[in-house]
Amino acid sequence: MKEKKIFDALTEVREDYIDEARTTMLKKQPFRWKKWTAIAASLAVVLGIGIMMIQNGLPYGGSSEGGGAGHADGSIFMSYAGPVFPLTLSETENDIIVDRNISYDFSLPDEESLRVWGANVEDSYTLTNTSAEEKTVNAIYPFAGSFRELQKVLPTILVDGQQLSAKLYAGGYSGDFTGVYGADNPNGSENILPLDSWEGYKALMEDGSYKRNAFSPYPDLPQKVTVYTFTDFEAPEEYDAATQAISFAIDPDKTTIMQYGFEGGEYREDGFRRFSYFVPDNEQWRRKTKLLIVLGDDIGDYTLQGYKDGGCEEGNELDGVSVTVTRSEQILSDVILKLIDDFFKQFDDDNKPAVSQEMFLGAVSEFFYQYGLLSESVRDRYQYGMLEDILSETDTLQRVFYLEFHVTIPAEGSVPVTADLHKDPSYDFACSGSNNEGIQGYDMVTHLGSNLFFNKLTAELISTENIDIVRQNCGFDLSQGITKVELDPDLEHYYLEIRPVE
Amino acid sequence: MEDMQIIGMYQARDESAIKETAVKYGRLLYGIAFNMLSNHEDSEEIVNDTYDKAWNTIPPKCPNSLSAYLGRITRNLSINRWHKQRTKKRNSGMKLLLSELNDCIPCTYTVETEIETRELALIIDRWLGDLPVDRRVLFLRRYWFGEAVNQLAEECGTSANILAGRLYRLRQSLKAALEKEGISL
Repeated sequence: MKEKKIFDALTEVREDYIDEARTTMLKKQPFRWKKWTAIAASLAVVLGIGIMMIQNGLPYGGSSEGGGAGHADGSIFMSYAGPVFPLTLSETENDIIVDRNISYDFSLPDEESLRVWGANVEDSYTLTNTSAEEKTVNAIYPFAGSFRELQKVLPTILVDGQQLSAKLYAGGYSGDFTGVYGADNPNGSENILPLDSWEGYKALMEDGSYKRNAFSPYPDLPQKVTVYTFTDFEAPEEYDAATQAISFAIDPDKTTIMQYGFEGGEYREDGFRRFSYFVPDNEQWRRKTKLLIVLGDDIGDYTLQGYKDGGCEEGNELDGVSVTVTRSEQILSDVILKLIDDFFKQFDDDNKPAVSQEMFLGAVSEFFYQYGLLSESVRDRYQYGMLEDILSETDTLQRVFYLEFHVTIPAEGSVPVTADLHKDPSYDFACSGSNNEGIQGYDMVTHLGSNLFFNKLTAELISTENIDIVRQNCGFDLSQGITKVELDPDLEHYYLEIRPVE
Repeated sequence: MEDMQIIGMYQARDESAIKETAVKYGRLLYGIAFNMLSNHEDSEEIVNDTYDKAWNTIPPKCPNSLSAYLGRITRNLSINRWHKQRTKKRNSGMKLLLSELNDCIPCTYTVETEIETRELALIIDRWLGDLPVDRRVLFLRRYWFGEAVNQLAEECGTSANILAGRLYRLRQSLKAALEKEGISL
């Protein structure tokens, strides 16, 4: 079978072409006014189930990022872990001066480990009160991470050697969005664009607004919504891809639709909407929670129609597909809270955010207002109201967290404050062919976001037998045994790039 | 989660690698299989078999691109499944794909030996490399990922007929390239 041979050969084509095809949207035909105005009224944006597979805004998900290139200070890595930030106070205190020492411990995690991955960072401060009065201050320790990885990256705070329970605040998503067409469509926002350098964090945090937002109460979701809940799914057993569709018409200026558990959609400019899902059976992979949430004017009459597959095409209708649709009026926050629970039940408990449900709901609400359908500038990525994307990306996207705790410093006395944390490295992907493959990057910023006066700054390395230093601006010299150095507190950024020794 | 971390989990024999693969690439792989088999049950089995094969081959394999590596496994498993089941006269996705690829078969009368798949892949690589990115992406989205013509047409903002014409010209171009190389299949 000769065509099979071509099929097999195609399977083996270059991986970069496959990745390119997976991550590149096809270009639209050039815009022609005359033709378009004639057909504008009937123009429909149709999204089949295949298109709904878009993940990360690209045809088949994944992310495409650069790597291995350098910038003014150190490398730009494909995956950037963010810098270690300095301690700060909620209010400026002129009577407090600070000495800081940061140590990177490159011990192997256990005896069976072949190489280091990440460092245990001890970020130590000595706060000295130069005034004649005791001072109690609100100290704040920022760190980069995501809800998903919070358990791993959450610093332990010690004041005067005693571990404290600090209050956690979460900033919003730290990155941005970009188009799938790159330079052809720089204003698009289908794709995640995470920060890839310390300068990105500088731009984010320098004016203080990001931190102020993090410490502000989360927005509420008090909107009354009409919820259509789908249950009692039935379809003829012989049709494996039997699909249930619901269609209706809305005025897009008066009605907004959010969806959960749906796999296909059709959106027309004239207000026609069709949402569809593969009829769930007893298989676990198909989630059974399916909701349409209507914000604004209700949808009115709707039509339910079964199809033989997800294409929902005319002539492919299927009898015997049925569902019970229940209409109810609820408050949006109540609905989202239930969906958060449902969403994480799909996974093991280990993947649940390590924060209260209320805090995660708040972060989801904030994300909704910043980027989702409640935003004044809805990102393309979230324009179809798929709530799974909002929940998942609130969980996984990088942000800056803050730990707040009290420190009392006696008059003319000092108190040590330490943040112990595990810091994952920045890195280029394995087998990527990058010059930085296998190299781990660690950034530190000295005063970004901090109102403290740093009198002295030192850095040290521990368990250096497990690493070789590739690039740095710190002054370590392992061959000479120089593992502790004094740094300039006025220099904004220090970097250390190491290669593990196996 | 980054690919490197997932590959690291495979190498560490951490079974969470399967879960993370499913989270990141499950829909991609299901899409490839479903585009070819047009059958949910088969597609889901193929995806599960893909995870199994990845688990048994990483290590020693260290894929440069995890998505392409997994996708290849899915394609291979899908066509094998299709061959086993084609007597049932179903799975029209694969049937259609193969009938379109039939256009690429060169008419060559001067070649002594049949070409090996790997050599053929290298020639197709070169042909793809000479194409503008948009045409290369279109060809692979149709014939590697098996996406439907009308779906691709929607993305291009054009009609299915016009897009089918473009695909036809691409197949003819590949056929001409293979003939130029003196390929026999």
